[in-house]
Amino acid sequence: MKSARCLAFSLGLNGLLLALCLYRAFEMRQHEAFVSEMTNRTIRAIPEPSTAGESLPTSHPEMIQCFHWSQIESEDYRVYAANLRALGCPEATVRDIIVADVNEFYCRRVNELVAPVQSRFWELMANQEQFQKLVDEKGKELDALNMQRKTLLRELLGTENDHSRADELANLEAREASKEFLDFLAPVKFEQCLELEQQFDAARREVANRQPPLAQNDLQAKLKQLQENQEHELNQLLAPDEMAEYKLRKSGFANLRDRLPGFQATEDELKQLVQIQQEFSVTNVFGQQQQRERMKDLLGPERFTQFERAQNPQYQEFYEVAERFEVPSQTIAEAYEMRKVAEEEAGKVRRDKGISPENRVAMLRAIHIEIGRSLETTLGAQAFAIYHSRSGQWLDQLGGSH
Amino acid sequence: MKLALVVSLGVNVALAVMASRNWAKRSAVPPRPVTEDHIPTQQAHRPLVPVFEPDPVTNRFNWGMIESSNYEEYVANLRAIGCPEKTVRDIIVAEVQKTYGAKSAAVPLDVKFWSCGPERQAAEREREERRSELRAESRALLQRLIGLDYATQIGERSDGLEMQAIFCFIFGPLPDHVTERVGLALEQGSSLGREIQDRSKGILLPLEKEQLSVLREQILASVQQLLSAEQFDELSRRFAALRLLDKGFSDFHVSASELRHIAGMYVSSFGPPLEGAFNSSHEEEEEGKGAPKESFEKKLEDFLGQERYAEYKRDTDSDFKNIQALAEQQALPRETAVKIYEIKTLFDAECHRLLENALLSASEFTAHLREVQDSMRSGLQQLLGDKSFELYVRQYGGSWVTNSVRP
Repeated sequence: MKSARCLAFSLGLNGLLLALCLYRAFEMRQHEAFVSEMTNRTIRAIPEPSTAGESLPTSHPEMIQCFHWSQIESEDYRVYAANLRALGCPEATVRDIIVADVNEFYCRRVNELVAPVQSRFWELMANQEQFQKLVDEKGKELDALNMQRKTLLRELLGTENDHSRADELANLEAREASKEFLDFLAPVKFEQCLELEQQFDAARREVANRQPPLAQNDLQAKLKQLQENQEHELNQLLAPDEMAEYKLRKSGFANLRDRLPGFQATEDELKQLVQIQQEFSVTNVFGQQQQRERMKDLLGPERFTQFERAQNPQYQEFYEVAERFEVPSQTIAEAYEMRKVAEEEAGKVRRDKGISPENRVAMLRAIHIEIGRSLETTLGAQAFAIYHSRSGQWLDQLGGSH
Repeated sequence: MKLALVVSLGVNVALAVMASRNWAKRSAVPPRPVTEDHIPTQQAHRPLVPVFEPDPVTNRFNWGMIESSNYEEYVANLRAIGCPEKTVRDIIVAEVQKTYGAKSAAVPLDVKFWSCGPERQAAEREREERRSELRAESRALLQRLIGLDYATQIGERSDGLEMQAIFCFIFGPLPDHVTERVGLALEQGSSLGREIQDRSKGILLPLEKEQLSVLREQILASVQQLLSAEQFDELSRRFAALRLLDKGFSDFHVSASELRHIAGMYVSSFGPPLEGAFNSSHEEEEEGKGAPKESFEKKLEDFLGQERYAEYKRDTDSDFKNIQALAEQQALPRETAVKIYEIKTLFDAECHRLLENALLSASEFTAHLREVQDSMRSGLQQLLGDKSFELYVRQYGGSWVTNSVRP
């Protein structure tokens, strides 16, 4: 009797354990299917059919057996980021993965926000008042989402990572520009000076972006202080002639080198031109005349004319177009001179009271036709057509009698 | 019975071992229910889940094992560990963009600091060409690695959610993956188009015009491939409607179905303005298209009828918008705004007629126009009253009434 009861209990236990085994096996199969699709994205785009050659992993093939991405994914971004870091994933890559993932998540939230009004596109476009109301309403929700996203990214990546890739790129470009700026220094000083530049640039950015923002006066004072500190440090680092060169390059007049289309000058001439401009920066008419004389002495009369012409907006209009069509500089200068002559002629005709209205009209039309034809021949038909459409208003007015 | 009991006990032991193994195996996989509601936000205040603890198996793995200076190898390694394709893309696009962004920034301006004119311009052109080559190289690399023609450069894509909302609203209820791919195609067109435009410095050479035209056709073709004919038509009309509204159509009252119809006429006259949604290339081209513009205006006139077409011309005129703003500010009836506009239109026509008359001397021209101006001024003063008239002249574009008229 006792054996019979034991057998019955044992058989019962058999059934229970079998059921448990079957249940676990079923659950595991379900889970494996789920894991193979596992990602912390809930909606995924259909993967692009890859045209890339199927290259096989070449290093550490054993890892394929021992690790699967799904092991680090989590519903919780903090865990996901921590898991990536625990694996030794570089911080920049953690950032790339998390930022893209979080952005995608919030894009889906935006889609949910907009979905109810997608079918009302035409109705809303035809009723701008209603549309504006909707934009204001949804705009608030979007702002809230944006704020949430930024907060989450800060929490996950830290505030030191709170800058965009565009900012990083801008910093790189600024560094390259600094290299060009400091190219007059020997390698050791170059490096030291570059470091100093970057250090003070960072300090200036920090002051400018301080939260809460500094009052305008305080900001100016801080920036001025930084400028003085930088100059002090530079004075320690650079020899007097190097410091003079540094200051000349930093001068606001140094951008003259970017404002002389078609005008070639030596390094020495350009530096002297900037120095002269700097010298007469705050001046009167008399001073301006002196400045011109100094420049003329430096360049000689012919090249001084070229120098002045290069800065003339009317010449630059010709230059911008003609240069694209590879018209020689000399030809561009000729076109500019043609304009000057034509305008002078037209002015004379207009001012001459002895000419009858009929004759005046005829003479102005003749000038108009002649200059148009000459410019077309000089610049070429295509360049002239573009010049005419961009800057040819003076040409159209030339033929008017009034 | 004893034998049966022994067998049963043996089976129990075996089943118990199997069950416990299953249990242990299951416990090794962290549970990860994937629902959006569980994604943490600052508001959710979820407790921190313990981080990944390397077990004896995964302990053997670290990121260094998959990283490689060879991009192909890196991608293959990521795929081999089951990294989802979109994450592979996120990682690789970012890596390639950063690498090439840095390379591009580092291209030197091969000229001395103190240089100017043709020498400096040639160096700048050379640097731009090199940067353009690098952009092409990075696109080709991404195409090879992830099969995606990804032309967008760092900083070109806004990371704000507003653009996504606008996209989503314009695209309508398309499947997510279609929206994404159409978006990418348009971004590509926009990025490449901008590159050509930047290179041209606003002066497009015939070759560049041709390049833009080919690019436009390519983008349209790729978008067309992704959409059904109906979807493509709808999307084209929606972009056309945005363009029309941007050009002042929003001030002219039309019903939803009328707007959709007019957008269709725009598409049939100018072609689908898809790529123009993101840069100005289409707009610039459109300016030059005399015949399509005329065709559109003709269709519009036929559709609206002469009277409404005249209203449309008036309502979209900046002069009328100014006058309407004055009327709103001064609580004047709309009819008054319409009358003022008619007076202004008459004045412009008279000016034009006199300018055309080449036989008039400057003094005769001025005298004639002064006469017209005087009569119009008194009419306007009567219509508006002194206060509103003064405001019109000072702030709402009415200076033509009092300015001394010079030819």
